[in-house]
Amino acid sequence: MEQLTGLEFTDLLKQNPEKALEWIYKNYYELLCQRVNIIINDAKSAEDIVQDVIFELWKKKDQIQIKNSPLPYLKTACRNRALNFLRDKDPRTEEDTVLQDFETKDTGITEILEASEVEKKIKASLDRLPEKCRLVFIMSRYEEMTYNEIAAKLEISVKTVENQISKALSLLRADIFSNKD
Amino acid sequence: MSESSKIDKELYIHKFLSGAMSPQERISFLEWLDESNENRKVYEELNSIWNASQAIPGMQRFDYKAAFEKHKSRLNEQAEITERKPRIFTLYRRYFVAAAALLGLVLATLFLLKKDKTLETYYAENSPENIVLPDQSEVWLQKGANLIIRQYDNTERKVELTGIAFFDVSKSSDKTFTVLASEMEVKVLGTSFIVDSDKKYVWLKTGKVQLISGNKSVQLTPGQSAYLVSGKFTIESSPSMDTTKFDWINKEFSFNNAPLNKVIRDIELRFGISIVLGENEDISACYFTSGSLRSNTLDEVFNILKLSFNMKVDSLDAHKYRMTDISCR
Repeated sequence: MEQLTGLEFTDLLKQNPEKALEWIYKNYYELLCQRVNIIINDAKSAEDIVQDVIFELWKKKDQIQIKNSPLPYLKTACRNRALNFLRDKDPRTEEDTVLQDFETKDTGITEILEASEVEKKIKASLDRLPEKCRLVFIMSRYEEMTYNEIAAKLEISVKTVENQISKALSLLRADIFSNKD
Repeated sequence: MSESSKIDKELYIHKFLSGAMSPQERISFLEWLDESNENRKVYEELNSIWNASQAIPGMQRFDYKAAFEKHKSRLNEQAEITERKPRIFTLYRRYFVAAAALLGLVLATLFLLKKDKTLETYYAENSPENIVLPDQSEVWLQKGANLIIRQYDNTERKVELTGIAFFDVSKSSDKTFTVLASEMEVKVLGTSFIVDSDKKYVWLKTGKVQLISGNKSVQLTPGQSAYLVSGKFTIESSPSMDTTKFDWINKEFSFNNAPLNKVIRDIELRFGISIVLGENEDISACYFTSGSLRSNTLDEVFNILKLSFNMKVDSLDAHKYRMTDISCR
């Protein structure tokens, strides 16, 4: 079932929509959540975003044609929503607001998989990067976007993208190889 | 390479690692590596970070099964709403066209009443809609909004909202009025307020409301609004906005020297869209005056704003727009 080609997926969608939906969740859900989570760093909201995107796609499935795999559409929609989420979130947290919040620590719907020490270290260093710097690096590394694409998406200059990439890498390097030499 | 000292090493290596180089550039890059031990050392360290970082998004697990179940239950909820509408219309048509089929009508009505007693649905399909509930409480549904009456009797008043609505709830001794909206629960006695289930937003005009989501709960006082973001409520005081917040249900939809940010909010509410501003836009000094825009489409309203503020409006997706290059004179 994992090996469906685009055409087979289209067939499955026609014959058994519910199965097709389950197939999307089974094969793409975790992947999409991980991609969104690395952008927004908020696992719970990442799940909300991915669920909304799949739900929206499903609502429109009779109007739009899912010709091949729905993955490219889902990836792009998730990325856009993740970036909008960051943009919408920013002003409100910065504004002079009275925050009334009965905080309970996130009980952790996610767990850290077994990862090598280096991977854990890099993850921690990534989380310590300044927000914009982290975002630019992640768009380059995981969304595989070019400098031009990142610049357009974040509405900043290509020069700024280059500066942020350079900054991210030198910070990561300083952080991770600080014990050396 | 004579100017190699000026090269931003990190960026140069990044271009190589991310595959952004042409074959010719890659050859020059390899030559550059051999130029100094320092170059090679930086490259090797960055290369190992680059490779190890590949696996990082895989560090967190997400469970697809729960999400899939949630999707199915959301679908069922929708099916309930859309299934029921045509039945109501069919019934009315029959009533007017073939009054003779009285018996059938009575039976159908009985069936309908029985079925719908706890689940009456209102849907503002094309324009804002005003609903008066049995106890004279009023609801204005914004275009596209949907209201389900879950329970409305001597013991409880409970409705479920999708979209945006303004509520004017009449006080009824100790019966709470509850609005379920997305992950929020809004509990009131007698008061008036706006709920937006998509943006998870509540604005209180008069009285007192309690907002609940999961184990979080906050109370609003008049003039305050609250957003639910990532499971937390953020409260803002905006008493100066006062009644002007309701212009989207004002039939004329006109503006008299109104701050642009309020105009934008009203447009969002009236057309059920969301508008973001470009990164460096400052609209604090922009004011807008217009005649009645009641019969104008969204595109026409945008055109008027484009002319007034010389701005650009881009569509980001079907419900999201971005305004840039706004100039206020």
